[in-house]
Amino acid sequence: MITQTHINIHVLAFGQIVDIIGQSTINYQTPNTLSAFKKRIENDYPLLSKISYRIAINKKLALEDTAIIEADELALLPPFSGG
Amino acid sequence: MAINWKRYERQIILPNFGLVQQEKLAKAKILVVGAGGLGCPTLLYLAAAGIGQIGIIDFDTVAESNLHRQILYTSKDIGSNKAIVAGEKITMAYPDCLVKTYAEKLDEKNASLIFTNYDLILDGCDNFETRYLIDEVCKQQNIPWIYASVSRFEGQVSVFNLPDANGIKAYYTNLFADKLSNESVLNCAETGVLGVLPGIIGNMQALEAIKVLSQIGQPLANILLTFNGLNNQIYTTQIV
Repeated sequence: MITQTHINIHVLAFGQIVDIIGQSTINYQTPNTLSAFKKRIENDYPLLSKISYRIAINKKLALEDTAIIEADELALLPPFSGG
Repeated sequence: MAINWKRYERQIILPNFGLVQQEKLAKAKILVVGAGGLGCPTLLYLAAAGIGQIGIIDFDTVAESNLHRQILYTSKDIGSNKAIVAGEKITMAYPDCLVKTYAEKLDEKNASLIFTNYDLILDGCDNFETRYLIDEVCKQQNIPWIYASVSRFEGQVSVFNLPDANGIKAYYTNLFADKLSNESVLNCAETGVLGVLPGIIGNMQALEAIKVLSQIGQPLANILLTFNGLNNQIYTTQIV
C-alpha cells in the first residue's frame, strides 16, 4: 500500500475566503499534492467548493496538479468584482 | 506640444523621469472604463499628471450611496450621468487635458470602435462581463490594460497584455479562465467597501498607467498584486 506523505504548510486567505476559513493565515497539515490539498481543504471548509478561486504556490499561480513540500506557502485567491 | 514646465516641474526633476517622460504622458491617450470608485481617483491623478487625452465611458448615474468613495461627485450630481459629470469636472480642473465622454455601456458593438482610439485602457468597472470584454478587445487590438478591483478592505491590481521582463504577457483569462458571473462573487453593494480603499487602489492603477506610458520602473505585467488595507499587507503572485 502506498502511504501518502503529510506535510505542514502555510495557507493565506484573501477576500471572502477569510470569512470561510475564519482567519487570513493558518498553518495546515495536508497530503503533498495540490489536488489532495484542494480536496482536503474543501472538505474542511465546504463553502470553498462553491466559489471560484485560484491557488498560488510560493507566489506563483499553480497551473496544474503539482507536488507541494513542507513549509510551502499556498495563497487562496478569489476574484474581486467591485469598482 | 510645448510642456508647461512650471506645472510639472516637481515630477520632471525626478531621477529617471524628465521632459521626455512628461512628453510621453502629454502624447498619451487613455480610456477609463467606469467613472466610479476606482475611476474617480485615476481620472483626477492622471489628468493632473499631464496625460494628454482621456476618454471616460460610463452609462451609470450618480447615486447618494456613491458619494463616500466617488470623490468627483457631490449631492448636486445625483441622477446625472457619471461620464458627463466626470468629464466636465476634469476639463474644468485640467484644461490642458482633452476629455471625451461616452455616456453609454461598453458592449461588444462599441468596444472595438472606441478602444482603437486609445493607447491604454484602465478597468474601473464593477462586473465580470465588462472585464472579459476589455480583456478580449485589448488582446485583439494589442492594447495593454490595467486591471483593478476592490472588495471590502482589499484590492487587486495587475497589468495585462504587456510583456514582462521575459516577454510573457498575461491576460485576465489566465487568472480566471472560467467565465465568472456577477452572481458568483459578491459586489460592493452586497459586501460594502471602505471609501478610501478604491482611492488607494485607483491610485495604484494610476501609478501603473504612468509607468507603462512613460516607460519607467517595473509595471505589474504578469503579476497580480493584492493589498489589504486592514493589515497593510501586500501580496504579489506571478500569473503565468
